[in-house]
Amino acid sequence: MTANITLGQYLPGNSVVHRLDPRTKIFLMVIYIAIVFVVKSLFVFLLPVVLLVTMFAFAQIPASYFFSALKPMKWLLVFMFVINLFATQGETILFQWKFIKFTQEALEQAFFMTLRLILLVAGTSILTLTTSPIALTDGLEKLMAPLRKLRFPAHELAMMMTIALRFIPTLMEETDRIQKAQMARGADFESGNIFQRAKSMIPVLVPLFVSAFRRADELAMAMESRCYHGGEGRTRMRELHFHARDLFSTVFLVAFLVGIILLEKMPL
Amino acid sequence: MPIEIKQLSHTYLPGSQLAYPALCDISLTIEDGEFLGIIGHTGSGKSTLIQHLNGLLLPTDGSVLVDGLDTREKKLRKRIRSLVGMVFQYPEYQLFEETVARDVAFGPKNMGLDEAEIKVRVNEALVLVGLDPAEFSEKSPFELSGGEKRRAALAGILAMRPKYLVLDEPMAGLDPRGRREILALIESLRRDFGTGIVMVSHSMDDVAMFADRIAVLDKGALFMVDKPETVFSHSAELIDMGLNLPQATQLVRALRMRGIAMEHDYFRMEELAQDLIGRWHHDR
Amino acid sequence: MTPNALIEIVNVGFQYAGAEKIALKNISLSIQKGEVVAIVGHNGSGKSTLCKMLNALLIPSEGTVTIENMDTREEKNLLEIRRRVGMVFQNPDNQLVTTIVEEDVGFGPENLGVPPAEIRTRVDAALKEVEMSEYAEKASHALSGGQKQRVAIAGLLAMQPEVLVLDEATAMLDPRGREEVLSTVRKLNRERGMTVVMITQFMEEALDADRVFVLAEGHLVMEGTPKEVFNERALLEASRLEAPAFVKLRDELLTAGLPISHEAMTCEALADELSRVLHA
Repeated sequence: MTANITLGQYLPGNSVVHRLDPRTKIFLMVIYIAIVFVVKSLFVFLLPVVLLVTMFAFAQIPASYFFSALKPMKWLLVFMFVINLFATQGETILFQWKFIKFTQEALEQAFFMTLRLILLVAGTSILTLTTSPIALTDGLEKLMAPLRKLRFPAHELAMMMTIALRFIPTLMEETDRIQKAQMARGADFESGNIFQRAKSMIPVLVPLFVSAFRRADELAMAMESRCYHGGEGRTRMRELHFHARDLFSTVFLVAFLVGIILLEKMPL
Repeated sequence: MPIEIKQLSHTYLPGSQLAYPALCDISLTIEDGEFLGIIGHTGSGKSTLIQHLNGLLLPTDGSVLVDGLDTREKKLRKRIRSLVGMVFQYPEYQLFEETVARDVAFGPKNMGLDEAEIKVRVNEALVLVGLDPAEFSEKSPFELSGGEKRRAALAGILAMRPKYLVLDEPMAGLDPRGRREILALIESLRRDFGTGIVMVSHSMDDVAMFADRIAVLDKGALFMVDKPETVFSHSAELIDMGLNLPQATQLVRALRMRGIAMEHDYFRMEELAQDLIGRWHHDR
Repeated sequence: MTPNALIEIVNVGFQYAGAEKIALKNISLSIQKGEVVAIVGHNGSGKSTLCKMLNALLIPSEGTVTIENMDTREEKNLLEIRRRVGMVFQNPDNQLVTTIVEEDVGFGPENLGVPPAEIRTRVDAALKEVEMSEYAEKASHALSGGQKQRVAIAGLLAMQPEVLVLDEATAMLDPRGREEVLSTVRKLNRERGMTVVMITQFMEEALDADRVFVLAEGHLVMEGTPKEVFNERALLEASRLEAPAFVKLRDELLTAGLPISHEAMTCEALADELSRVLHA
């Protein structure tokens, strides 16, 4: 009995964002990241925040996911804030105690950097929340396809990713089984220093590796039996097509980026 | 002292949305030296139940006492795991050491025994499973055939000299001869050493061969635990649960449906054969 | 050349590279269209090796294997042979390639370059045939063994094969899973005339076959109907095989003098015979 693990926290749905072509979404992410890094001033910063909220709304993702995306990052955010607060030089000193001081500029910098990180993590999580792992690999494969002319193994990489995704839950179950079998023989994975603990993993890792190789062998045989012969001449059941929504969202976001750049350039 | 399971319940991922009640209020005592078969449809909780016997899983409610030791006590776990040996399905997939001897020694080593004692036990275990130490000790476990690997894995548990041996489908994937040999080995452990056996199996015929009692699990609850003859007399309920009957019992049922009075719910072919032959001669 | 033969195996021999033992010696047999054939043998008898020759995963060192007149030694035939001879393997997990069931079923047609719309149609039809339509969008790893094997079968059906070969495909399944797979295969044979080749160690599975081939130590030692084969008790034993339990019982009763039919092999057949004999 294993918990049903959804990799990359994909949340099935039918929103407009879900239905965007994965290639579009990958491209939009790149634009979004550029936007987040281009903003500098306080008021302009509001715009990407509004954009983020809008994206979440369009993707019909509950706000709770926003917080759970950030939860594992909370210490990093605090760290980011503090580091910038005390490491940045400035002129207007706000606080001083012995050698610890920070300035207004530092406060602003800390605030912006932390906000940027939040925007980045939350924004890119929309990609994984609205795109299934298969759709992502399909999108990446299609994007990389032109590179095949340069002998880049785009199809093979995509196939590897697909198989890896498929086998992760299986291998995790197997690891659990092997661990239990060794624990039944008195193995202890919890006590001891880091070296002892690493060593104690050998009775789990060796069988796991051996098993993984055996699986690979059998899978290869099964794939060949089903006429797999590489990427040449392969069709796909699910084809990726661009629709109007892909065009609109791309145009919109690129325009947004251009707008931000211009706003930042304007003297205020 | 027996293994006492008292009102055992187990829920996976309690409190979450995915909470799954695998076991419900199970009470059962496994006597010293008994051969207990555990049967049940897939998903009835058999695997979950046996993992409680050596503390791999802990009860959500209720308790499990092995020779008086509570599995929930972390400090007692090592002792419990040397008392209750567990063989999982396809145990050959847990072999990892460079040589068969080293792998078999893994259990005893974890028990903290000294070198001399370990050597004795490794040899003894290999002999018990029919792997000649002279031939197999220094071989890599990965060189062995499937059947030999399984025996080597079994030896690894036997080297711990457990008082109870819990086996999950020990004959899975073996050919008919292999099945018979492993089953005979298991029974010999009980006969010669008094080892208590708990065997989970889908094969009714295998379970029926040697079990003193059979526990039937249904949707996480204990439907009944009794002598094989009594259990198999409940053929209608067992079939409803999606379980097979031993082949002899199937024939008894088929004969009853054709109007032949069968007093006993035979579950061993030889006994059924004797009955039928006796009837034939008696009729003439 | 036997007329109507789908698969012809002529004087085939094989030895694995670096092995001392010869895996197959002088095997000749033919499989007719629409037949259900069982190939039984002990571990190491060569049945697995023979099985892999059926779809050119292995090429014979001696002799020939032809699938509908296509020689497996010719590389140009490879893809077509593998399309026509669909193989289900023993380990349910290690045949599923992708994360989602319907994607996996589409894997074969995708390899064949079938147009996308048609792949969709074939996938839906195949899932329906194996009664797994409701699982189309589910994760493959979460299925039971029997369900995984049925998905594997669907994946083969989507390639429109002529023959379905089961390489000990039920060995790792629980009784329910085994029954699911066997009844699916029986249905395919009955309703579609699918030729079926079952490699198995379990005699009970061979009872329903049209013909049984017995391998031992790399040789073909016996061939015939299940009735014929299971009556050769001495030969079975020498081949390290066991007759099904009911056949053994029948023989024991026959030896004791009960006038039951020599042909009864199943529980129901024996019960019929016994009720006839004991009521009289």
